[in-house]
Amino acid sequence: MRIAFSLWNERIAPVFDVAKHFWIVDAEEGRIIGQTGRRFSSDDPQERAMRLSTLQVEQLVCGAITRTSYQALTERGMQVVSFIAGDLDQVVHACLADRLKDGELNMPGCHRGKRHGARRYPGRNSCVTMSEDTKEY
Amino acid sequence: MKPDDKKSTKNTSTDAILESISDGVFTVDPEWRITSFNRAAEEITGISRRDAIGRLCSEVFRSNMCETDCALRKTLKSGKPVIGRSGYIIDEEGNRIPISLSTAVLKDSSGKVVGGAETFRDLSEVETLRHELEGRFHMGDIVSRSPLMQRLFEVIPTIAVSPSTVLLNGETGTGKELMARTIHSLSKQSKGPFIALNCGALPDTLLESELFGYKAGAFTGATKDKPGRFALAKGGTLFLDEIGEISPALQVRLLRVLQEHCFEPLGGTSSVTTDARIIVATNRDLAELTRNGTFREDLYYRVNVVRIELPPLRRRKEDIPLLVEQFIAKFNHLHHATVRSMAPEALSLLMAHDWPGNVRELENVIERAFVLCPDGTIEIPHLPDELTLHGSRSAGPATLQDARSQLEAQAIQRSLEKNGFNRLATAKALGMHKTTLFRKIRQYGIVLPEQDGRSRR
Repeated sequence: MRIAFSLWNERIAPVFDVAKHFWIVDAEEGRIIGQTGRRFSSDDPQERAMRLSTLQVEQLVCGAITRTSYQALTERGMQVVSFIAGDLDQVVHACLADRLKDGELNMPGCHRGKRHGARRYPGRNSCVTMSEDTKEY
Repeated sequence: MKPDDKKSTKNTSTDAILESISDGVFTVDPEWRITSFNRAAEEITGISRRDAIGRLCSEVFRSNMCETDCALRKTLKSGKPVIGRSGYIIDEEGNRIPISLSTAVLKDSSGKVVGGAETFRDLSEVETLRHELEGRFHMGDIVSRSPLMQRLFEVIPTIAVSPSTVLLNGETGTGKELMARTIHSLSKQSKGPFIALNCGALPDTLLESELFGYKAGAFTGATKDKPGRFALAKGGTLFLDEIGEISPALQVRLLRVLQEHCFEPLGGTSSVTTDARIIVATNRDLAELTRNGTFREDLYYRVNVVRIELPPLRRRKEDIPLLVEQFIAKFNHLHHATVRSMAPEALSLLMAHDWPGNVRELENVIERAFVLCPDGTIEIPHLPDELTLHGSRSAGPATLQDARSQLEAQAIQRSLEKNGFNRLATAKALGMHKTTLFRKIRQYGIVLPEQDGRSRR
């Protein structure tokens, strides 16, 4: 499986839409079999989605992401795990161990159901963290 | 009161102020971790103080500026505040929240830098209002603030949904094809194709085969069937530009299609029906062409069902700044340039020009300026000679009296238009007696509309 992690300063980039770099990890049965860094050349959501799609990325792990970019990626069949924060190594290992859904590495304010202090923002739902299952290409 | 008590009271009142203001405020330590987060910051970001404090500001604030253009980083580096920078943050639902922010260095009582402070304001409501206002000046790709165009904007949606043939009349470069595309996009056939054909660009025989298509064997070289524009426009819109240029023979065939909604391809033996919406355009006076016999009267009445007059740019000069802004954005995108704006002096020259080539001419002027000025501000030297003083000097009036008369005529014309051709209001606005105004209107040969301003409601 090929997974991309949006990258800034050795951490997951806070905003995917303007992130300049991403890290690609090829994994098999939870083990890394190859990894490399790449660059985005455009801020256009469609072109960024196309770039990842051309590299046959199946899953993207990123920080905050706008709906437009999220849709551009899922329309191309990618699974998006968004609103994640942390050191790249930490996030990669959590991802391979299927621990991202535990919520330990969620961005601040994303409680996935726990939602401390949610009473103050009654209109809001928990963050868009994981898209539906990967569609077939 | 002990000094510690004083300090504590001061902190409490500062906290109370921070809690009561509507701008979001947060502070960071030198490691970029949030040290305070006020109530408005909680409301705007949707993140509670408890979640925010101690976390990296970029992961709480989630702004488009954090990675490459952090205002707070600049402030801490230079010691200078940033004021009113625009950007957006992303909320937990993936919505962009437009904001403006300001930054400052945070110092302790001894003057030592202990971090930075950022204040930000939610501009969502302002943005919504701005979009609403912009929407009023937009219709499809057409932008205009002019009352003349605003009147068109009001009727175009109604015209677009009717099946009637539309005649677009306007000088060259006034945006006839753009208007046809807008009508198509607002019509019931918007999902169908938009097919455009310039009737003046092709010789008669070629135009006939382009319009109606041909069957294999219709003439030498016709080895297979070719569908015409009428067939291609099935379920959509056919736009025929320069309709005044077609020959009398072709006018007869066109009349039949418009009446019967069917035609025969060249060499065909059976009729083909068409449901395409027809929009025709011309820069000529079709009524005049009909009077002198070059355009068939029956075709004229058939195409002149709904007529839209597109005003020349010289009659809607208030649109020039808006159009310039639109073309700058367009060419920045196309040429990967970074032109910000046009200098006010250069814009004044554009406002003074008569624009015989209309919007197309203005677009070409901006494109030319982009060649000479790919970034920064477009200045007078980037404009062509015919717009600058040098150009107007050679083509200008011969004497001072001529120059004065020209200016006077222009001022009267502008004021008449501004006052809806109401002569009394115009005379008042110009500070002259109405008799003097009438005399000058006659003297300068200013053409007035048949219906004057008095009968306007």
